[in-house]
Amino acid sequence: MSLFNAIGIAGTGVTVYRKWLDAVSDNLSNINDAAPTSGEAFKAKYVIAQEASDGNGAQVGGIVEGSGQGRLVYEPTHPLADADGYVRYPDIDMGSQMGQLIMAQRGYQANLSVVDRAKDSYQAAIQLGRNS
Amino acid sequence: MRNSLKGAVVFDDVSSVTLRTALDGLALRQRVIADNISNIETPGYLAKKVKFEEALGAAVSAGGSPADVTPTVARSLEPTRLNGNNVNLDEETLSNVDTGLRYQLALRAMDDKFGLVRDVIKG
Amino acid sequence: MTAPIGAIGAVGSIGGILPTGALQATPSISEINGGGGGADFAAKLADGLQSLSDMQAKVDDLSVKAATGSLKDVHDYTIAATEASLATQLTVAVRNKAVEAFNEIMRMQA
Repeated sequence: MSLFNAIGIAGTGVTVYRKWLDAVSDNLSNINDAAPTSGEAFKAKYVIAQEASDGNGAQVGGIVEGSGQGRLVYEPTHPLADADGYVRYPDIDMGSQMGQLIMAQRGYQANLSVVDRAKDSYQAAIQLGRNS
Repeated sequence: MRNSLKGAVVFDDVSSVTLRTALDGLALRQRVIADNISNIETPGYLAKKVKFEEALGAAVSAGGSPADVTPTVARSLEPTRLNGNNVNLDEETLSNVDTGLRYQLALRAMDDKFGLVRDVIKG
Repeated sequence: MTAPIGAIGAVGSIGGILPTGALQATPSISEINGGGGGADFAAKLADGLQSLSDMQAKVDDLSVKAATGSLKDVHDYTIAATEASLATQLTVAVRNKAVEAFNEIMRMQA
């Protein structure tokens, strides 16, 4: 999109924030996944945002998974509890995930408003000298 | 979608024909985007993409005739979601904005060409 | 059309301009009238026509770039198009004035 470059660049930003939103919503929906102590807890996903390789905007460099250690919770009545009564839950902090959710949403909206403004500017440029 | 201006003497130069082809391609792209957006939850639906800019650029720089270039519709081969659908709403929305602007620009360019002739006629 | 050209040559200080050929830059204009002032004006007119034709070629080229999506900035095209349009209108106005002047002179002759 070299002709209307600002829109293309904002588009890459939109993609990055959308992926971030997806990752955070994935983490939040799995925040109480129980796993037996013999296995791993749900691993939180972290999106790595970096500058795009061609210099135009941003890209997702990769999605990293957090640790599978989780935290051990004493729940002897749980069907997955081991011999000592412990179950493994993921170690995801809901507060920080909610904070990230808000940041991702703000970033997404900010990029969309860039597209809006750029569209107005380009339309004005197209109308230049039009009155004759 | 062939050019119907075969008999017209004034408007079959390279830039007029190129603009006509571009307008055809951009209008097609608008329709395809609307199609994609309306099918965003259809299982197994692959997004359609319109291509003509590269072919047009190649035809013009190789000195060939841009009148032979027709816009093509192809299915996107990007990864699909669980239901087999690969329409990306963000991409389609932004492409919609971009196509609308390009269409306005191409219309402006056609209008300017007619305008130059009009200026001379009006005297 | 030799009689009117001879009459224009006699007046000398007004650059003699062929009304029907005005939009073709011909160097023979300055040969015909032979007056110093006439040659300068004719040369300026020829330059103006050449730069107008260059401007129109540039606009064509930029519009092809716009159609294939390889234009770098939108305002490049619209500024060039506005310049070309104004230059065309200016040239047409100059041609009209020149034709009027010619007709004035023809009226004087009768």
